[in-house]
Amino acid sequence: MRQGEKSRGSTGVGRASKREARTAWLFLAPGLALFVLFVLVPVVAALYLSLCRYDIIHSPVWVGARNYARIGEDLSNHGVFYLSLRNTAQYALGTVPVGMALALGLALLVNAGLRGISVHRTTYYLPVVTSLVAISMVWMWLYDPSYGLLNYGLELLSRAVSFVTGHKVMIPPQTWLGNPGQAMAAIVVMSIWRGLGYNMVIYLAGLQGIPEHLYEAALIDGASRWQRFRAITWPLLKPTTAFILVTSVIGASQVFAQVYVMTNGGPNNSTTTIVHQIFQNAFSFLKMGYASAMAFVLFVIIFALSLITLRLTRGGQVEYA
Amino acid sequence: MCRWFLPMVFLSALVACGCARRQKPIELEFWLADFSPDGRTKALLDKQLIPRFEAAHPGVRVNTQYIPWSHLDEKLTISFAGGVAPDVFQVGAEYVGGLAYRGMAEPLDARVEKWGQQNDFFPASWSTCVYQGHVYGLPYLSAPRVLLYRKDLLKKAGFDHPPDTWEELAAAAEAMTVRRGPSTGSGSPRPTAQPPRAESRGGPVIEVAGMNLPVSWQIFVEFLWENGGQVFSEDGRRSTLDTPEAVEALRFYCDLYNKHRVCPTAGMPVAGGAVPVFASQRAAMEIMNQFGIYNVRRYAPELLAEVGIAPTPRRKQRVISVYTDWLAMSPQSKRKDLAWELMTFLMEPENLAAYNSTLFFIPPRRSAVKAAEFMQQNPQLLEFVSLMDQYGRSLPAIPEWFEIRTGLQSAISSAIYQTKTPEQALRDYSRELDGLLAERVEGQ
Amino acid sequence: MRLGIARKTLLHLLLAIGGVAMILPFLWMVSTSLKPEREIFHYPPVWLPSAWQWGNYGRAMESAAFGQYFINTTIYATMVTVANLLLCSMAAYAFARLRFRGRDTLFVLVLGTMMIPAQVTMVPVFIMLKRCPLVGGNDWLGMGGHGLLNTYPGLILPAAVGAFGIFLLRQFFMTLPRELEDAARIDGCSEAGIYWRIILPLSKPALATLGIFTFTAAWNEFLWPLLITSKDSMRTLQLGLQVFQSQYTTRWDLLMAGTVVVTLPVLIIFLAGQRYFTRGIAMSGIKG
Repeated sequence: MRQGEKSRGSTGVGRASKREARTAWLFLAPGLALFVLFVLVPVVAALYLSLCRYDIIHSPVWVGARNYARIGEDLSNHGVFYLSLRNTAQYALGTVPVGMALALGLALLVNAGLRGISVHRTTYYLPVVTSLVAISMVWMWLYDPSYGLLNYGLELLSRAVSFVTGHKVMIPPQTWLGNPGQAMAAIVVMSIWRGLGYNMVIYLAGLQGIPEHLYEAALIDGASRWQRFRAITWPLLKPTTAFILVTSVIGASQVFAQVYVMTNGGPNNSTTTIVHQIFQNAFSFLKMGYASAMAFVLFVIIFALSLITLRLTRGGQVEYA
Repeated sequence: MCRWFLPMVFLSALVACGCARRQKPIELEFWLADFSPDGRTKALLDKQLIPRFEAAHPGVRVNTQYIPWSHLDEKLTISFAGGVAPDVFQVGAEYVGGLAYRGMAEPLDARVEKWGQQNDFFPASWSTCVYQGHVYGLPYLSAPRVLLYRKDLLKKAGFDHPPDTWEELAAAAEAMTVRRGPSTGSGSPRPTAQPPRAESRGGPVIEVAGMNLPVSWQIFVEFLWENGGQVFSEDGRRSTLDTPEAVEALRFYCDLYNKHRVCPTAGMPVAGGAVPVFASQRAAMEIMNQFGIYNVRRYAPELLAEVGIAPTPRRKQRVISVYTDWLAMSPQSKRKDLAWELMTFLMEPENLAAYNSTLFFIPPRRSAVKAAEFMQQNPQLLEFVSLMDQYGRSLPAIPEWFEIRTGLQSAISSAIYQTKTPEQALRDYSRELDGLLAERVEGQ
Repeated sequence: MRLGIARKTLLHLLLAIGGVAMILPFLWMVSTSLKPEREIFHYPPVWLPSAWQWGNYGRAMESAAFGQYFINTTIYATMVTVANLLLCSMAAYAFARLRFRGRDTLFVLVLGTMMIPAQVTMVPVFIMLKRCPLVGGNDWLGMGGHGLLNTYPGLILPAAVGAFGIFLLRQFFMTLPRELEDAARIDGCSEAGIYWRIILPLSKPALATLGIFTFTAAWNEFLWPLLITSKDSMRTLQLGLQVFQSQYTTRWDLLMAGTVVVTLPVLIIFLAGQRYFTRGIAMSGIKG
């Protein structure tokens, strides 16, 4: 996706580009070998399985496109796969924009070079450091309707408001994870909490890559902070932003662990996600073929979204003025 | 002479190596999913039972793996796929149909016949391991679900006996529910021995729920059986959920939530059942297995005397649902006789009793109950056993239980959360279930 | 950027309020790990235990072979991180800086595999590892033994290279100005030399980032080690934490204590790697 590469036309270059190509393949070889073996081959196997009925115990039985037809039926009947698509979309729309904006803001603040900033950097990264499984259990408890901190916080809030206004105000305890209308939002909040430090760190690395002398030159020219951001920071962060956007979308589309631990898809199918459906069908219902078909439908969706994203950000290209 | 010496040495070395390899211990792989979180089960098995078994079978090593329930399915599945399935493994109440249908459990009829100890097991526990008349495993622990209630709260509400019918259940629950409006309390930690004061009846917040009912397909199935209904037909080919009995059962369940409003405020303890609502006095009654007692012992032992045990209320019949976890043998096992010996060893009354005592489960055979000190010394647990013996019923075996319980859960949720009426929810799911059952390919 | 005192304090305050929200769940975790069991389910919630149960930490660690799990997890996480840093940076360099036929298609292919959830590739990879010929008791056709199951290579190899790392580093390499490399090429430096002596040193923030992410992810990885190991001697720390949960009960106090202990090493690695995030890049070499 690099533009502006003119082809060079003389014999000397032909040899050079052949040598360049050979070097390139040498650099790629070890990683690519592992990659082909442990990623590419299983993906092709999964594609084959998506055209079979496979209960993992017996050999796969070819059924052609029947799994895909079943997905089509499910979508038109608003079945459970349709619901998982809807829920995954809600999750992605909830976590990606907010998460990225907050992460950028945080990174800018942390990069401002204040003394003692490393404390803040650490506290914001802390959520990333624990395992998703463990932290989901803690949050499950925070959300508990009878004992959780959140409902306790609501009670304190009620009391404070009552005290201040002089009326008896009561914010009733919420069900959170047990409420079909709130469960997904609850998981979204927890995921933003967790993902913040992650994207912040990537933005920090990107900010570090912006040469200091550009800012110095701009300061000399009398540019304001906002102008410096718009003219220097934001454009030079494009590759980072593109990267974070694409990986966030890919990650959000594949959300699984939190759902599995906290709600197992409920209540009333309001939190089941695509990968949750895949997992359930593969390992509980032993419908590996159907699960693989769902995985490839997911792939097509993510691929399309990523292409659009990369097109919008123009591949994260960077030009130095 | 020298010409033969070296080859002879080489040959004998080879033979010696062969002998040495043959002396490598025979390994049995044993997977357990029910083990206590405080390490007592591990201590019992790793330090007492397994060493005793290995001593009685020299040259045999048992590799015991503790696999958490939440990940048992994927581990089992992938191991069978890779041909490295464990020789003996533990599974739950819904598994027998699926395992038998897919050839993941070895039929044990001939061995059981020879063993001859089948009749010592409780029928409701034994039936969990049977599919289409064949035995596929041995029950390892049982959990009957009964009605637990607070005797003091019941008496205070003016009832002299625990609820016996559905109507009585609803009435008792309503009487014992404590609700409150905007809080005027001080908010300081309440000592657990004192129940909260009833500040106002009819406020939006349920402080003490009359009946702790999670949104669970198991509860629905219980009510369904009590009403004389079934989830599917005897031959496992048709759904029987589109019937008046089923609709009545679901409507009763929904009414407890939405009409009588006796269930915990914001519903249900979320996945894991780890938060003890009844034991911490936020509920006056619940339908629970013996872990209800266990939690009270752990979190509010001073209340133990006030906990009453009664059979679950009846409508057309009385039913106690019993969930049993059991041990199966893999057909891929290369040491089936040895695996069977391990299973029967673990089933010996004293061993079975010891295992169940680390977990606070009910041993599924009578002689083990007699041998279990923790049972004999606990009249409440013996009550569980007696109810299990009289009215116990286990889930009927069918290969599709995993899909059915997921689908049932959705249907029930939609009814309780009122996105569908009970009739609609059951009608829609019934159709789906018929489709699911029709897909089964016989004799695969 | 120079900020006045008032702005600085405001900044610190804002960050601190947000920071409290960030660490509240951890405070809860630590608090629960030190409570007597009866106080765990108390409403209103109790923050300070009435009797500090420091013994929970010892009890938690004794509940399973956490020492062995620690060794396994350290080996696994370290090897995966080193492999990723090396292999992904080499591949990313090829994608970012070298020209060859099929480069963009290959890159898109690599990127595409990130979009397939790992859950559907686990079964083929498992079978592949089990049937690896000539290891673990297998003959040359891969039958008869256990292959690479229950081994370190079995744990490490499938995770040794990932599309995420290649993508991250390629994006980063693309931001580096070409002048340095062109100058080096003119001086006769080989591609490998440029990679090793110019690109890598300039990429310390990105490499540090990738390293910490990879290490953290491997340290916290649960599903793959669960599936590939069935011997206690090969388990990892996350699997060890499962010992505190059972079907109907959870020892929350021990579970929280265990989680705190298991989280500490990654936290320390992050604190140690912090300085790479703050180091400015010396780009002054380009001027003039």
